[in-house]
Amino acid sequence: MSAFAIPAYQPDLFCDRPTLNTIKEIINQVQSGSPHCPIVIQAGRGSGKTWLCLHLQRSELQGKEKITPLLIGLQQPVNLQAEKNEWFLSNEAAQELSQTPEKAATVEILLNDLLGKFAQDLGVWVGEQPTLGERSAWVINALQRTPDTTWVILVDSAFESDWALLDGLEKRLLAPVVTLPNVLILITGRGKPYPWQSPYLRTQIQMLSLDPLKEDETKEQIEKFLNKGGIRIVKRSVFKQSQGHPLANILLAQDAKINDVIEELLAIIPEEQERQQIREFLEALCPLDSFVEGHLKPMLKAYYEYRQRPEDAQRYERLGRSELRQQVLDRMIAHSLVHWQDGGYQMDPYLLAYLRLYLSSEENHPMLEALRQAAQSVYVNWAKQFPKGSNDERYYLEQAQKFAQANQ
Amino acid sequence: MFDSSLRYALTAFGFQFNPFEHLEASQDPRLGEYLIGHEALELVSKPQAAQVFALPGAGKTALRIAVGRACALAFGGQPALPVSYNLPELFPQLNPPPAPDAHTAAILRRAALSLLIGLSFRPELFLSRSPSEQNALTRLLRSLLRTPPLEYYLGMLRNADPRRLAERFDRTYAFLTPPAPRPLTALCQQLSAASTPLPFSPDLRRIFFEQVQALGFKAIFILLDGADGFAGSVEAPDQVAEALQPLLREAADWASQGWVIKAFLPMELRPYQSDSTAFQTIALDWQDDELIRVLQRRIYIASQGQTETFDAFCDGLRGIETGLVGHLLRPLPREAICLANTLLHTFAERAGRGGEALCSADIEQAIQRYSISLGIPVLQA
Repeated sequence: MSAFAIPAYQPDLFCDRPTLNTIKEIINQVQSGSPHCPIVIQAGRGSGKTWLCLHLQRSELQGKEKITPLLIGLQQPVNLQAEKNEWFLSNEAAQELSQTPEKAATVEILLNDLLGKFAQDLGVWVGEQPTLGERSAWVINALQRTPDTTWVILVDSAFESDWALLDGLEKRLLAPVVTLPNVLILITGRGKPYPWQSPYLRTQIQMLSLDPLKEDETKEQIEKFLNKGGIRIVKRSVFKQSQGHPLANILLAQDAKINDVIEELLAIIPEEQERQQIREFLEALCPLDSFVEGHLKPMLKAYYEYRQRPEDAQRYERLGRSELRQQVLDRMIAHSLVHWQDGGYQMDPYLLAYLRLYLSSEENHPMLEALRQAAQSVYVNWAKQFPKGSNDERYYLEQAQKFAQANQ
Repeated sequence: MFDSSLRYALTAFGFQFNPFEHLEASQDPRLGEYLIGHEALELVSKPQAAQVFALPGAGKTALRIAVGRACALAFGGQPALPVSYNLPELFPQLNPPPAPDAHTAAILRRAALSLLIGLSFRPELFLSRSPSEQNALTRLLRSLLRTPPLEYYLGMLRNADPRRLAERFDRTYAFLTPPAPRPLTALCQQLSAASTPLPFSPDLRRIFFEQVQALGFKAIFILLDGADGFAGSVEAPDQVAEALQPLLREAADWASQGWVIKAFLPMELRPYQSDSTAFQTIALDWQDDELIRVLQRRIYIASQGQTETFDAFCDGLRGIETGLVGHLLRPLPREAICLANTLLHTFAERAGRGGEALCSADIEQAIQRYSISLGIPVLQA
């Protein structure tokens, strides 16, 4: 969809991240006989989770003695086919799974495929027309019976995947092996974390962050793409705008505009009309650091009134709270663009930053002011329900003040 | 009226179900999903004998179920085979107290049942063993499951999926996905093979452990619960302690053979606690922040991860769970769940008369009702 090239993963194009070294140290630790709990990386779209998993799978751990990585990609990586000990959920299969009301049968087909491929790749396939349970048992037994081998299971894009598939994956593979001392599980994803049944996957974990690239690392990334990425680099200094976000670095270096970066981040929404509508919701809400249901109506009203679309402004104003949640909030959450964190709904941090940058342009600034004014009114009204001088009143008046000052 | 207003409230919050419905952990089918990372779980998951002491409603059954389910989920790959040992179910009377051999026989039988049910969900684990290993396991199960005999359970497995067996005899496994019919049929067929039962002897304990060790288990967890379920146990904790002593004082001996006792006991038994060198002693206490997480976890699951706090359904109210926990009569999960349930019902009743957002009046009224009723479902009155 994007007019700008997004190259497929190549080992030479990968920029070292501190998180990679931490993971390698943990793998060494497991290899020397100290078991380690699962690692979880939660980060926004384009921050490099998939490349990190691919780099571990295809470069860092490839050919290493007594280490076998298994990669489960729950989102199809750009222009790559699954190799040995890898399985990718295709875009078509993901779409089919999201649309089918009877998920169990589809999940069984997918898990049969995943475990069947691993069983074949690992050379433990022994029967004809095996059941899902047999395939699962073969793979689990392969891990159990090789205590001298360290198995690194990489589950990429987990949180944005269908919960029915994750439930099956947990029961058929992850839960039975998570406590094996020779197994390390790395889970990545964006959006709301999946509530695994097994406490060993959910509560007894180590969270790692995937920080943006620094300014010099951003330059290094662009140099690498210039030399080996096969794309036309126009700008080499993009850090101020990209803030080190790997995907934005590459797009902006090709002279993409901030609007193009936003479009690329939203490209995960396949249907164009849906994508456009969700973008409008995000634009309306982006002046807020975080929001709750009570923000939706006034912010959408201000947005559509500014855009001179009174029918839309009235439509959202008339909606009841539940309807508003279903028609606005749930759709943003469904695409993992928004999730609850620290007392409010928060957008993917990079998307939020680029939306704000977009609205700060000369052309869009009046709309940003109108939205800030709406936010200010919301907080003034909320402050009124609390006793004078109370912490809550003070908090909301401070919030209102923040938006008033921003507009000055 | 009541049902429809509650349904309205659940819809208003985007809840798929009422996460505060079950005050009794053993009745809650979603317990495993609600679990928060309480440090007690980590302690009790270790392969070391443990005594967990807790007040009613502090979550000892929840903890016992959580440990059992974690083992069941990892059946075959996990260090421990979970054995649910619910005392009143096996020994309805305390007087006379069960003899040591009676405990051993009951635990072995429960262990055999746990192994059978676990294998019925993962038949491949059994079918992948050599014929001689399969025969030895069959003989062991036949020796330990006599009344009713192994055939009785196999008959149930032939006629229904393993979840029926689990629902009836060991709910630890009831949430697992059943296997395909073919391997289950093969399992039943293999286990039907005739073999001479072994005579009962304490040596069966060692033999059993060796057999499950060959299947990949590193230990057997005896999850002892229900000590507060005996009639009059609160008034006469000494009698319950006397019934448990023959088992608990042998904990080190059991542990030396791979059988690790995890006793989930009422606080009244703490003065009678067993040798502390053999056991890790854990008091199940709850801090406010943990109780807040108990409520938030349930909201997260019920809303399918959309949110984790009642704050999301308000216009400007903040820290609702903190406020609720601050009003608990006792800092226990059951109390917190009860108050949150009261809030949900209070909102349901008021929202039925109009108004969509949760407001401070709902919270104040719920706290008042909770304080008065001590958990009696107020809307049913």
